[in-house]
Amino acid sequence: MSMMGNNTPQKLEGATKQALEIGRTRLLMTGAIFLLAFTVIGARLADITVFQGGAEPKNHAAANPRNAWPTTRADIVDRNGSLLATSLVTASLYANPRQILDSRDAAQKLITVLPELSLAELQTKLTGNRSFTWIRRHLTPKQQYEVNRLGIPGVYFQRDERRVYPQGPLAAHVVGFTGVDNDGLAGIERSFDEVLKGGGRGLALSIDLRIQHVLRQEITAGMKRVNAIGGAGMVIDVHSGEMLGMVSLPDFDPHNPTSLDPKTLFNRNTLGVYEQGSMFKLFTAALALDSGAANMTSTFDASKPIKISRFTISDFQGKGRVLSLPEVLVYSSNIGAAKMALAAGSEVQKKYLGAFGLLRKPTLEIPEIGAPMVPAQWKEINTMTIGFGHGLAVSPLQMASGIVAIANGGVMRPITVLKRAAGEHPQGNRVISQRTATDMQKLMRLVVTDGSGKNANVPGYLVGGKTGTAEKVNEHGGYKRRAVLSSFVSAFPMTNPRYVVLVSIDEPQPIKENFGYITAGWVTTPVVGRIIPRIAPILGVSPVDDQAADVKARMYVNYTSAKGRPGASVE
Amino acid sequence: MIGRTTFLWLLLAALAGYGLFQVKYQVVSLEEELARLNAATLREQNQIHVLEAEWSYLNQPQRLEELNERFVHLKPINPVQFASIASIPMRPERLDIEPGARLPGTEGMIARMAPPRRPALPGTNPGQPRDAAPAPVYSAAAAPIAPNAIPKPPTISGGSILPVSVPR
Repeated sequence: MSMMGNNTPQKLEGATKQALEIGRTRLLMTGAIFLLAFTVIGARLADITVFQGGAEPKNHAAANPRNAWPTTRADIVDRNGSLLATSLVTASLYANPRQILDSRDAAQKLITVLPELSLAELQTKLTGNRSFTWIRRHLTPKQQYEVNRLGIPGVYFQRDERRVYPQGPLAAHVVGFTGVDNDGLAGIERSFDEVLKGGGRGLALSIDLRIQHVLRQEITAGMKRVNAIGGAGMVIDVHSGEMLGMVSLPDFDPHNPTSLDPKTLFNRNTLGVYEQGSMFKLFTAALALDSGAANMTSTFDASKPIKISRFTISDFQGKGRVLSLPEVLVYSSNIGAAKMALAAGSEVQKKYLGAFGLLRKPTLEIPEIGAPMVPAQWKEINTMTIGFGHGLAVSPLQMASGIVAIANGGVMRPITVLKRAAGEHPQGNRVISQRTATDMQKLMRLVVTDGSGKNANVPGYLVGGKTGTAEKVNEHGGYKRRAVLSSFVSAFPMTNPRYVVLVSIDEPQPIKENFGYITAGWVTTPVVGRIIPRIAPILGVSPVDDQAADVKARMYVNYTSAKGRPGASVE
Repeated sequence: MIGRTTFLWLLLAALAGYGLFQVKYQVVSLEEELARLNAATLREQNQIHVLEAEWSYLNQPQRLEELNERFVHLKPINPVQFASIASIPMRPERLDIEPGARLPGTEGMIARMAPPRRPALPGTNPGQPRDAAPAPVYSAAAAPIAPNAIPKPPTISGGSILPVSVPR
C-alpha cells in the first residue's frame, strides 16, 4: 500500500514502470488497429454510397417481354416469319375427389362444358378416396373459362404447355415434332432441341410456306393422277443453297405423329436413297466435258446394245445409231451414257462424283439423313451402269445439291434449311468450270425443248432439266417389274439459273391419258410444269420471251451434227 | 427558450415522420400498380401469342386458296401477263390517223405479250433508258388525237402488274 500512495510517474521504477509502458503500447496498438479498421470501413462506405452509384436499390422492374415470355420452348418460323411451330400455355383440369361434395352433380356439370367425356367414367373418377385425378389435359381458354364459371369445389387447373403446329402437315418433315414432355423427336425440333429450349423468339427456316404449299399441292395431284404410292419434291436457291421447299408424301400430322402409318414419318428427300436413273447422265456429261474426255461434238455409237459379262445395256426406245453428246441426253441413251462414262474412266468418274457429294453422307440441319449406297468394287461395269444412274443409290437431296452446283456455274455449296441473311453466299468448292456449267445448262434446256422434258417447257421461264425413271430394287436385290421412281430435276431460268426443282413420283401406275407410260417424261414433268409457273412469280423471276433471238442464241446447241455420220465415235 | 427549441425539434421530427409515411404509402401503391401492370403485360403477351398462332392457322395456304375460290377467284399470274416498262411504246406526239382508228404499234400489245425490246437478261440492263426505244414518227401534221380515240388496253384486276394483255 505504501508503494501505491507514492504514484508519481517519475518515481515509478522497475516492474511497475515496465507494466505501465506495456499497457500504453498495447493501448496505442489497439487504437491504431481500430483507427485502421474504421478508416477501411469508412472508405468502403464512401465507395459504395458515393462512387459506385449510390442510388436507391432497384427492387422492382417492368415485365420484360423477352425474359418473361410465357412459354419455355421457342417458336419455329418460315423465312417470312409465319409460324410453323409454337408453344401455347394451356390449362389442364384436375380434381381432388376428397373435396368433391357431390360427384354426380359435378360430373353432370362438367359434361356440359366437356361433352366428349363420358359421364359414367367421370363420375367414377370423381368418387373415391384419392386426392388427385386428371380430368382433361390442355383445355382451350374458352373451356377453361366455362369450367371456372361452373364453380365446382375441388376442381383445379394446372398450368401446362403444349406444342402447336398451326400449319399442320405442311412442313412436317422439316419441322419435325415433339413428344409429350416437349422434347424434340424429329426434324428441326430434334436437331435444335437445346437451342429451342433456351427460349428466345424463334428460329427462322429457309422454307417459304407458299412454295411449300405449291409443291405439296401439285405433287399430291400428280400422285393422285397416276395412283402413285409416294412423292417428294424440293426447291433450292442455287446461289445461297437455301431449301425453299421440301415435301415428302405421304406426310403426317405433327400433333399426332405416331397414330398413323410409320411410313409417313419417312423423309424421302433426305433419308431415302434411290438409284436416280437417267438424271445421273447429267453428272456423266458434266464430268466427261470437264475432264476433257469429251466435248460438245463428241459422238458415241449407240447402234447396238452393250453386252458385258451377264448384263446387257440397252436403250429405252433407242435410235439405233451414232449419237452426239447432246443427243445422248436428249434421247436419254443408256448405251451412250455408258460409253461416255467409259471414255472418262473409273478414276475420273469417282473423283467427280465425290466432288459432287454423291459418295458420302450429305449434311443438312435435320437428323434424318441417309448415306448413299456406293459399290464396294468400282469395276468397268459399275462405271458404265453408274454412267446412266444405276448401281449407285443416293438421296434426292444429294442429287439436287449436285445439280445446284451445275446450275450456279460449277460451285458446290452447303445446302441449308435455315434462313441465311439476304445476299449471304456461303463459301463453296468449285467442281466444274464455268464453261462446263454453261454447256450443261444449255444441254438441260435442250432436254426440255427437244427431249423427254417437253411437258415441263412452260413458256417464259426457260426451264431446263433431265428426266430419270429408275426401276426400284425389290426385297431380293433384283429389280421390280413396272415399279419405278419417276423423277425430274430441273432448273430455271436457264439463261442464268436461280432455282433448282426436283420432283419424284414413286411407283406411278400406267393410265390411259399417259398411253400406259410410267416414265418421268409423262408422269413427273407435267407436275414440274405446273409448279414452276406458280412459284416463279413468288420468287421474283420475271418471264422472258423464249423465242427472242438472243435467248435462242444463248441456248443454242448444234446437236444433230452426228446424224448419219459415225465420225469420231468412241469405242 | 429551451422550450421553444424543443418544440421546433419536435415539429421537425413530426414533419419528417409524416413525410416518410407519405413516401412509404406512395411507394406501396406504386409497387401494387407495377405488379398489376406487369401481370397485365404478361396476360396480353400470352393473348398475343395465342392470336399469332391462330393467325398462322387461319393463314394456311390451303385455306386461303379455298377462300379465294369461294370469294375472289384470283388466278396465278400467267407469264404472258408480265411486261417490262421498256416494252411499252412511247405515246406519239403527233398522229396522222383518223379518230377512232386503231393506233399503230398497239396490235402486239393486245394480241400477245409484247416481247421486251431487250429482254431482261442478266448482264444487260433491263431498265434501259426510254429514249433508246425508237419513238414512232408520223410525218404529216394533224390535229392532236382525241383522248377517247386511243384504244384502251383491257384492264384486269389485281396486282402491280401492267395490264397489257388479257388472260388466256
